[in-house]
Amino acid sequence: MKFLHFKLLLGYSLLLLLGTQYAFTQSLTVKGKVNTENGEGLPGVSVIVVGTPSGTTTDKDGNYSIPNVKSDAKLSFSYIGYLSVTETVGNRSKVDVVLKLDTKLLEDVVVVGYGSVKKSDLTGAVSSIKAAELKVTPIANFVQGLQARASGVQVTQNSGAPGGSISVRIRGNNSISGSSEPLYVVDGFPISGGDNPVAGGGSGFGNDNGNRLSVLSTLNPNDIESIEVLKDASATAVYGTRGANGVVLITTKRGKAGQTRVTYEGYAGQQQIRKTLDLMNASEFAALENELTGQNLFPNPAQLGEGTDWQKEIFQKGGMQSHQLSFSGGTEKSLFNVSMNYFDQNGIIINSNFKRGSIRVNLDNQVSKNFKIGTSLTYTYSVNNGAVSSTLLDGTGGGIVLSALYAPPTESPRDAQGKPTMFSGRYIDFNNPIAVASEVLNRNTTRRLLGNIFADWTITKDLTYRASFGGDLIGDTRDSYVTRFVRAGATVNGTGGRGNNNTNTILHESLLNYHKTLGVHDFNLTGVFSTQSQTQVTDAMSGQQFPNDLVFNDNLGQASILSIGSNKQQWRLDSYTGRVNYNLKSKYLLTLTARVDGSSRFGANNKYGFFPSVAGAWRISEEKFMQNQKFFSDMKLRVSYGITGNADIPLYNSLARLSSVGNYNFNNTRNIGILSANIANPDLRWEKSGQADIGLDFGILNNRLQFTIDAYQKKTTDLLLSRSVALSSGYGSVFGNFGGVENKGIEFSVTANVANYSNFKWDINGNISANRNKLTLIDGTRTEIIPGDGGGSVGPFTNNSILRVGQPLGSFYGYIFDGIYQTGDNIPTGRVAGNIRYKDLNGDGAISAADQQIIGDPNPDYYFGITNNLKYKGFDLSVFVQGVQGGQIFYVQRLRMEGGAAGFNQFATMVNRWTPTNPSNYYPKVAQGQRINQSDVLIEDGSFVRFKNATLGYTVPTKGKLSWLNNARLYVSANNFLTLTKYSGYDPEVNTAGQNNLNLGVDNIGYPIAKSLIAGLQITF
Amino acid sequence: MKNSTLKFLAFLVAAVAISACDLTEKPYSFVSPDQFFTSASDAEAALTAAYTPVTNLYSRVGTQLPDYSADQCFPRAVVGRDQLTVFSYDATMDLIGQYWQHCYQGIDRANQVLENVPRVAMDETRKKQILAEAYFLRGLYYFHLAKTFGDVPIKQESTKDIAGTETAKSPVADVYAFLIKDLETAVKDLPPTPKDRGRAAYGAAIGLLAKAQLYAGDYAKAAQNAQALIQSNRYSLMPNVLDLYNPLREDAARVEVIFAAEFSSLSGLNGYDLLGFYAPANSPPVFSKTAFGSAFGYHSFYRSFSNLDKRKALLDTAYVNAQGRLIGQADVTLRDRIIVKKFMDPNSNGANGENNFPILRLADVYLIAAEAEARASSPTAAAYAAINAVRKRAGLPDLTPGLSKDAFIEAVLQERSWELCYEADRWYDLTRTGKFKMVANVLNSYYPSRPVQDKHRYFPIPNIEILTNSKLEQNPAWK
Repeated sequence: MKFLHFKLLLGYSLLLLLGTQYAFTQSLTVKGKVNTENGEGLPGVSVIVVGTPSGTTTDKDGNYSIPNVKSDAKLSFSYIGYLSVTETVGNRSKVDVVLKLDTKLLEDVVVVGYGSVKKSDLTGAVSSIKAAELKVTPIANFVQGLQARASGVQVTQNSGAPGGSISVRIRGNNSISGSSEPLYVVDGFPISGGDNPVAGGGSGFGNDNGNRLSVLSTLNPNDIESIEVLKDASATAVYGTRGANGVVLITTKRGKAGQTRVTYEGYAGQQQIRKTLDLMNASEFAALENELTGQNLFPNPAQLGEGTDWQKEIFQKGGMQSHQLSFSGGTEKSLFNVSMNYFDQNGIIINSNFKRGSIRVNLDNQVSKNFKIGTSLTYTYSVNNGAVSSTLLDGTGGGIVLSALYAPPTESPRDAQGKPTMFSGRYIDFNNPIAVASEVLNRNTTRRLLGNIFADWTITKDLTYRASFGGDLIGDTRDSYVTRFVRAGATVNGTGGRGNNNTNTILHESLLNYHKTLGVHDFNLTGVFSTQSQTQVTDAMSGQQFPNDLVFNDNLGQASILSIGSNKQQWRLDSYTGRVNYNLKSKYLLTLTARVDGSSRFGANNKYGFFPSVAGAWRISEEKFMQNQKFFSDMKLRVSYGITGNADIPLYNSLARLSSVGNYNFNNTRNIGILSANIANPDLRWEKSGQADIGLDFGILNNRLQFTIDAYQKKTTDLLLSRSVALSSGYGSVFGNFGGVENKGIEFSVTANVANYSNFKWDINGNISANRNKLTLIDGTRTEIIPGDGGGSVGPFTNNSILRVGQPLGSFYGYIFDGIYQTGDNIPTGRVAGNIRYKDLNGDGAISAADQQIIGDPNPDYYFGITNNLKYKGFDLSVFVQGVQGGQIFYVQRLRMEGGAAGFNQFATMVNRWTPTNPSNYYPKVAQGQRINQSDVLIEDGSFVRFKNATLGYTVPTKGKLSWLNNARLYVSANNFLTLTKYSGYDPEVNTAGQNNLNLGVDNIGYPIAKSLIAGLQITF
Repeated sequence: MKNSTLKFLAFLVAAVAISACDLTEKPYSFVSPDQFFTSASDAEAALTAAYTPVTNLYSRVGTQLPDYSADQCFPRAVVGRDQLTVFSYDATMDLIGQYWQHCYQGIDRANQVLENVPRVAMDETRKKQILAEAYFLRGLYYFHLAKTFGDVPIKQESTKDIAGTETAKSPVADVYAFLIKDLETAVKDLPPTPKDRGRAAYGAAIGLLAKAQLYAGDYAKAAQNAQALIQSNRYSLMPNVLDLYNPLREDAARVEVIFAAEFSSLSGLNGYDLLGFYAPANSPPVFSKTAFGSAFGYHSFYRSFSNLDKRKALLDTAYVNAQGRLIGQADVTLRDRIIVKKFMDPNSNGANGENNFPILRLADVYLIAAEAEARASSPTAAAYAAINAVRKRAGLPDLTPGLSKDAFIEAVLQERSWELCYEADRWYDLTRTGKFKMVANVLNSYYPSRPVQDKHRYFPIPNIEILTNSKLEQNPAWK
């Protein structure tokens, strides 16, 4: 306090002193113009009379005017990105200034964990994505904007649902049962990228993966300034136990000194289904049913015509819009960026939508010469009405889309009252897809406050300290109800529930930085202590047997069967991080990092983990021998190795837990049984990845072409796995560190400045990556885990993949299709002509589980993205192409839709089914109860090349009449309009199992991906 | 560096040291072992947990494994259940693993009760009963393992750590000896009437003991114990055999049902899940709210009933579907299929039925007495009296007097087949008597061939157990 008083006193004294000086000098009004080197007026430049509080900023043409300036005063002109200029006024009343670009600052600064470095000083493998790239496509979730933008980063939209599940793999799958999602750090606050752990309160439909929401869709993409993706261990080791899957750093927009800018950005458009599947019409279906049952169910199939097109009934054109208003500006001392956003997207399935409103306040204040405070704060409210897309609502029907595929085209969609019909008779087990959409409530409401405040103290010239405190408060409410119009509701007279999930995370970080240059040696030392803890409280209530469907889940007390539950859990992570950056002559760079993480999740015997890394870089282009050539304008070799961890361990798994393991019915009441639920594992620890990376960055032709190549190998051991234990122990499994996996790959990216004229500019950005994944160890007791034999029918779709040592995670497993048994063939018992023939791989004369083998691999050979940006005068055109090559898709539902064991609608191809007169060798005959197994015939090439986006924009000239405008751009964009693929399903970008590591590329009919057309407007005042 | 800077750094280090300390996980929604087993209610909750696997076992797999193998019913050929009927299963079959797992889960829990409850300060009488119930349950689970798998590991202690998960197996005779000892212990301390409906009492222990002794070949003791239970007059046969299975009369049926898997359609409890299997597809909610049509009776079994037999009404050849249409044998959904109507609950919640599944009932004990008596000596009057009690209730005349020992035993086994059909009993009668290969002749259009072999006497030890238990090898027949 005393210190502060003293400073204030000093300030006042100075003012007084200056005040007395004014009396003795002449004063005049000074005007002038600030220009760039190109002679263009530079708006927003701050002009300050040195040593006085008076000053101004230049207007949009670069002009300024300051009254009452003393003749001996000095004017300081400063603008971010430009070298500051100070001019003595003298007797001039017009002081014109030219500001030169600060070339030092021009060089990109890359944000890394706990700091930032110049791009040329970077030793790790880091990809940067700027806001402009991120927002090219209309996105609900910023992660969508990362797709195909950075090498080594594979983004898959698991579900096309608005706000739906999305998965990101940085350099491959690192885990089996843990998450392989990267860590996300928003303005220094680490948050989870896992799909939303949807609150309970379910009602017949579970929280299956495909139905999940991405928790990251609660962040407004428009607030983001830049995203850095940290890929190698040197970059990620500072995140210790959370670094193994890579780290995505998100930096939001902060205020810039100068004129206050008001910006409106908005777009509106429409999305629709990319393609529909070709199903049987009513007369084809009726004929098939007659053949299947051997009865005359439909006396005259031909008369039935087309019947109901169920896909048409459930798909719609969904409107979407986004409006962002932001205010940004401030002085050198005090900066602000305030924004608000409204985003509204209707899905392409009826009754599905996502709405989000958010505000952000980012402030910076230089309190005194060596003390600065700031804050980043955002609040989001989002509501998602989810289509029940991939879940099995009951034993037979599926989500909406699956229901639409199964639904008999002979049934009518609605009754006379306009209510969805309920199928009866033979089809009673199937849901009317309209009912699944309109008679099911599946709403998620999320409230999220994410923010931190920080204080920077410059202790000495070289030593700075930052303290930050943050909080992430997420409240999530799940509302669900299934009425009697849907089977799952009908059998229990309505089922509904409500669940709440409150997840509160708090964070403190203390960061000490010391920077010293001694001759040719430059040291930068960083030390960080951080502690983060999270408390999650969930409660759920649900009911069945409602008197009617009128109040949905808003009066659960009316249900005669109720169930409630609650849970609370907590974790804490304490970390100590140190980093040394050493730079010798700007040629030789060395980064050493070390982190110690202590986590409550770890077993008592392994509370702390140590994560070191080392990286070196050699800027070859700075060497003397490179000075005599003109071809390479820049060249840097990078090498790194480090150890990172993945601590995505479910909580409390190291402890012995006694909990309600089952109940029993005594006296017709529920008696709670409590006993040990697991075997304790005090050795439980993090998954450990050792990653080596070698990279080369080089630029040619004066950096018109810039390349980055990286090769890496990542070996992960101690994979968390529920290892089976002898069932005779009374337990099924024990959770511990058992498995191993390896990823290696090559990444390449290029930036080409093809043309750079004042009227015509053309840039090309491209990246291509290849990753190879291999399971190296399961648990020592076995070398493979075979999915449960589906028996004679469609097994649950978790069983499509096998874990086998030496093979990639997610490898598909099944039988080999060998045509159709024809009349006269030697047909084994149990099969008849027209049934599918599978290969007897072991030659034992019978088709058994032993006749299965690996039949496909969902992991792509390579994936790429190419962007062309062209500018001609006011017009700009951007074309963004994404491609994934070589990955396969397990099209599970073809087993049912082309399998012959019908009883529900089939793909139109089944008109070619086997009959004695049409001896097809591909499509089986229709017969109930015939054995159909998952086989290679269901594996399809999932390669695709997609024109993800084409945007045409026009920047309106704002000179003259429109001079009140600072900038205005109009654009139209087409997204996902052209996809080149051989895949026969809705879309080759599919992953019904969500973020699961083992069931990749499985298409069990989820929420298809849409195409969209939008028009937008960006104006700055 | 300035003094103040140093002070600040020192403060920082201290602050870090203070704030980073406790990384132990604090449990909120469960209890840790050191907090438990301190009160009578803890002991009761632990015992309840040891009962749970009874309903886990019988909600499906406890019936499916033996019944789909035998000669009374067959599954629809979906998700591999037909492997049981055509004997194509191997050790990897999931149902086999489930059966094994439910039993051993019960054993581990019973062991936890037996190890921990003695130190709980509580009413000593009840404590003794709790321990006796745990002995009964452990005996019950081992009986299921012995008759299904033969040689199995005997776990006498609960599993406490990873090292303790593997146990070697013991010969089936040792398993019977062990479980018979458990049941004898239970007989001593169990009360004559259970504390609550659904718990094991004296009758359950001594009845199961008799059954286990019959299986183990100790016929004299089996007869003696079965007779002791009959003579105790605590139980009587329900006058109308059809009432025995009516979920609305399940408490009345306790006069006959000695021990059952107590199902409930209440939330948080296990419902009887096979209802929907027996309910033919698209049937009205007379059978069950959820109807899959996944298991049906054989015609040959249906035809084996006398028309006088009241129990025949528990089977049917036709039903009226949800649209009011009569579906008979000519219809595709019922061709070669007999509807099993033993387990029906029109008030089921979805597929969750209220029906209790009888594990031991007096009719069974009568037939145990009859068979054991005959095997121990000859078809005595007492043996005839026992079987005729069951026949009389079924509406059948007394068994032909003066049968030879073999013919009498054969008649008892046939009576068991009718009386205990679909109660997970028949396959074990066939295997313990070595007659199981007769099912090769029980065929229909769905199962034109059932190539049963000697090795099917017992089910194989689940493959997952073989993989994870280094102290154990597969039984020789299944190697």
